[in-house]
Amino acid sequence: MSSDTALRAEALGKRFGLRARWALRDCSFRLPAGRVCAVVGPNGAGKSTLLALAAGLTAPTEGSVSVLGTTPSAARPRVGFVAQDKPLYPQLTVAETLRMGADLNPGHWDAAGAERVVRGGGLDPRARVRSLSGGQRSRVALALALGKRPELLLLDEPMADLDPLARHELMGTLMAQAAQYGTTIVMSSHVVAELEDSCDHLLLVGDGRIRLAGEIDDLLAAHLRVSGAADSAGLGGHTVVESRVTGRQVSALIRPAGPLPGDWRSATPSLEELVLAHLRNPGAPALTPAETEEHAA
Amino acid sequence: MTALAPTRPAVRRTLLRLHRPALLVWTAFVLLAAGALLWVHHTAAPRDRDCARPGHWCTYTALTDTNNVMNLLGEALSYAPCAVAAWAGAALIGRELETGTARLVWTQAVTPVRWLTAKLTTAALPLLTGSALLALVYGRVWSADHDVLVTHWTWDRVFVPRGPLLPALVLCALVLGALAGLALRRTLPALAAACAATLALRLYLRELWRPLRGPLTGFWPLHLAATGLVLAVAAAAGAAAYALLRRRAA
Repeated sequence: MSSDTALRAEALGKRFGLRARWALRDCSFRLPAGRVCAVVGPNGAGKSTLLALAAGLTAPTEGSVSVLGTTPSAARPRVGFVAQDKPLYPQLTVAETLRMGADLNPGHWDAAGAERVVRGGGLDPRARVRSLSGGQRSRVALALALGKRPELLLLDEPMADLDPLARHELMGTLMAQAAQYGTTIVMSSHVVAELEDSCDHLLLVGDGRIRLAGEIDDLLAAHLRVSGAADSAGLGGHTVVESRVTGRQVSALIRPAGPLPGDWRSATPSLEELVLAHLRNPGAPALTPAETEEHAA
Repeated sequence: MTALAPTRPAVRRTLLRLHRPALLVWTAFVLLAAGALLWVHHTAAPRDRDCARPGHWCTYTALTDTNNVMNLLGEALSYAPCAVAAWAGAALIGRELETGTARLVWTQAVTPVRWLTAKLTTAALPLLTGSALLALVYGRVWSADHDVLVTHWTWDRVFVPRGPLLPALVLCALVLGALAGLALRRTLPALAAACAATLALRLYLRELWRPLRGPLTGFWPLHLAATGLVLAVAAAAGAAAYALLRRRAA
């Protein structure tokens, strides 16, 4: 495992309880270091399970996941994690919470950096955590995760309960961190638009499986949104992700295998179109680096 | 950046910050109970001896009656482990898993196993020190003032707090609480289960030493046998708690 890989999953699967549904299954991908990666998918798709496995909070049922070239447990001091519900000790003050971060992360705690994140939100360090609003708690949780100077930052729905202004500020803080320290950031969301501007890598999770994985630019370049008359030459030979007939007009999202016949009009899809087309059509084949490599071979 | 942090995380300092109120309550309980025992020995018992002499008499209330106070202390001490179990199940472990703060700590540089070890040892130190001190004082006072006390060593409220059985029960309660918290992962069910298990152990013990009274005679053989049994239960519960934690978290 080279250290330029932040996260690698091989046939990773997780089932909670023997008879339960698989929360995540047969999941293989590789995330290079230094990327800002969006984990997108509907509620209950397995995003949180994937992040919990990477953070070493739960053990895989099958397959394996490696983090920064080692096991999730060994990588613990180098990985930051913010859970979806932003758990914090309500009885501690903001300053005491940060002191806890310093105590629990000896040798690699950036006290000034963590304080800067907290003060950026105008938070009083003497305020008790239980008196904070949702957005303020998110800021403290993020300060705790950033203060340990992680090489990999895992954020589960980080922006869910923030107003647009706080969302913009926090995203700015995150991107500054990524740029300054080369931190790999993995953040999940069910809102694609929220992540489109800041992320360069995508993991689309649907129904416990990886549907799309790769650089966003590559994924967009691998797909075409095409439209033409219903009686135009067929799209056989190309992988059709989704196709719809409106009157005499056919529009489709395809993975072209070669040049298209001349009577089709084509355009590059937006990220949202790409994601929605794959989520609406669970039968469409997945596109992940593993398969890309197979094609290349 | 190095893979291993140069120094170990200061988990204990964090835990003391989180559980300061519990530590204060336990300290207050130990001081109050020890104070009451010393009062029995230095004030109440000599007074009762004076009263017993011909021609002497004295008055006292329910709260200053030597036997009342001693009985109450015996009951409080022998049921204190149930309170410890309730606290350990609910506040020490169950609430952390219910609210997700355990995961917060596990994603710092602290593994789940080290987190549990730190929790158990940080709590065990004051609990064992305090309960051993109380058992020592209770044993001394009971033996020294035996002449004025209406009591017998086979009674629970004497048998339990008079020796190492008390700290052993407190330790066992702590571990049972941790096990209940890890198994149930919710505050109130863990509180109820831990308290009930400790109460059952505490009451079942009494049934246990009756048949032992044949082969083992006298207080100490029976008391030490009971202590050994409680420590074995604590060890089994501790092993189960670690096995559960290892299976749950990577």
